[in-house]
Amino acid sequence: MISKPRKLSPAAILFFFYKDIKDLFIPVAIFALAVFQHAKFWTIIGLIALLVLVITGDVIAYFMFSYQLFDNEIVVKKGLFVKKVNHIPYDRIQNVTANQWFFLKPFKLEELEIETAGHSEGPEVSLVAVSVDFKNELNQYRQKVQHQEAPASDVKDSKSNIKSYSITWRELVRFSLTSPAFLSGLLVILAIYGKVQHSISQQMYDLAAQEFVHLGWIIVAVGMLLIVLVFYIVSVFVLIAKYYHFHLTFENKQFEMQYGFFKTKKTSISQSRIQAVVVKQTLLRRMLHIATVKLVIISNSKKEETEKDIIVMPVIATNKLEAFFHEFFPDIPMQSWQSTATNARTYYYDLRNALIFSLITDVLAGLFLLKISLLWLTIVVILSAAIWLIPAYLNARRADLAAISDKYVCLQNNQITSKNTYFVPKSSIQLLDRRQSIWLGKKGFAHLRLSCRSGIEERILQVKYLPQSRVDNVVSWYKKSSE
Amino acid sequence: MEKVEQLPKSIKTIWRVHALIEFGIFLIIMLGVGLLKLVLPTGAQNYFNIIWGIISGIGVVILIGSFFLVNYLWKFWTYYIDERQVQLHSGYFFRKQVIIPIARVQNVTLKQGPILRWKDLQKVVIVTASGKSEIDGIKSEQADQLKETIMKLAQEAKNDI
Repeated sequence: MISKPRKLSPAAILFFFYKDIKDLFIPVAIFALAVFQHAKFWTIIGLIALLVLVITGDVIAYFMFSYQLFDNEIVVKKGLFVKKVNHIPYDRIQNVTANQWFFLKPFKLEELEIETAGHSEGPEVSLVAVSVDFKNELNQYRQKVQHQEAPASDVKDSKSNIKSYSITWRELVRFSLTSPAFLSGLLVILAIYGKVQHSISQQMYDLAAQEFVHLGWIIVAVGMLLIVLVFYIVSVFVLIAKYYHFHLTFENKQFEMQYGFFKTKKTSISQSRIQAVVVKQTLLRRMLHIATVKLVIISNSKKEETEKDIIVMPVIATNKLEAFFHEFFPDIPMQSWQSTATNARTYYYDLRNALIFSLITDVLAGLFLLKISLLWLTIVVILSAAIWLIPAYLNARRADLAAISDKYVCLQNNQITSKNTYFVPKSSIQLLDRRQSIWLGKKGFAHLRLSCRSGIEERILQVKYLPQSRVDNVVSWYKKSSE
Repeated sequence: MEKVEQLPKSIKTIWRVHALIEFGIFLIIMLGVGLLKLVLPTGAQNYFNIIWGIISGIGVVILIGSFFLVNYLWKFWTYYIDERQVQLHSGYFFRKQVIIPIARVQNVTLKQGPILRWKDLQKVVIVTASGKSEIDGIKSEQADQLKETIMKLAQEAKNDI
């Protein structure tokens, strides 16, 4: 069964165009502004010529782009001068994501992104506008390949059990309200402000500063607070729109996540592609007893570490976690995971290290600030203690490690203030690294690092200063072959 | 090949040669930086001399240090291979033990530069889906054998990424 070579929907031209404009806008705008004063006529002519060129390019790109389904692979062809033919065998597909903007819904079109374990940046194949039926067709082809490989053994399993879970409105609101995402937006604004400050003429700046002095610091502070508040509210709405109607289904050994208000995103990933399951809790959410469940997967995505993981459940009450795992990850015996109370020496080591760093910061700051102001120095000392010691305390408190079944190990650590609990199958640990200094050895303590693949990079999961016996348990668990 | 093995003694010479080469590069860079002094105002030249001297001094100390460290490194750098996993051990004061199951090995690369060829050694790089681990140098024929063994075992083990 081989499908005919097909073209994208003509709407794809618009998407190509939009993408080109997005890439070109800033450099072209800067250039045009620079030369506009000198040659108005030629600038306009140039811009029009560029526009025509881009549109022609996009139309050609559209006509040269075709895709075709074969028995074992999908083939994508593109390019006019440099022809590119991309073959992707179905059994090498890691995950498929369908994005649908709300305005495409009436036309039954969506964008399909296919990711593999390759090292290309961005999805291996991106079909910007295809009919929504295409995904089903692709799935049929893929399933056929899978059935050839794994005959009838678990037909019963794959046929019935359709499990699903939807996020509740209440949970979504709690999730959005507790997200620290707005802080990063604020940082961006501060950075831009720094740049703008350079370019604003000194006179204007002085004038503004004088105005501010008149207004007084209180108003400035209130203004800042208002900006933060606006950011916060915007981020809450963005998050609600992003994870709107989050719905998780498990069928045919495939997880499918569907969410989004303006842009509906559907990601499907096969159970066998999951490298690890993470339960993540920030400090604030920990107080509210809610957590996020994510999947560590191999993909072409080069995003930041926290962004890269696929969110399988944005928010869930901690007391529902066990039932959730039982339903969707029956392999992972979450009930047999019991966190062990941290050894006193672990606290000692972590806090000792933090104290050393904190003191170094204090001494360095002291060299500069001692002559200037004692008050500021005190503030720095307190701040550095807080910044170093609190995460260190949490590191010690949350460090935990145990093999919970023949197949799974559970590793828990702390990332600044958020708690991560990883459930990692033996088969996705690429290598294990046990570290111990001779002095730690005398006291019977050791570190452990597990290396996994995540996105296109290595991800190291590590716990430090754990009793040696517990580390060695996991080492010997790892040495026992599973296959 | 079922016992803990040490790297061949000749690897020590290689490490020393590497240290010397690195020091040579360091010297060239330092000399190049030293030329910058000519364009500096006289007031800054003193500071420049002090900083230049300190950095060069550190370089020499590192060179001497690495000559002494060679013995220490060699003594505690061991590896062990059986039909299930590759194990690498290093360090005495800071001990590091790496376990790579053969089923996770994606490919094995053998490398040989002119210095390694002179001593008839090969570097073995074991690549997994997440990263790579290196054995700095073992006897050429042994390396070939090792590669054969690992690849044979890796093919038997199911490996699906």
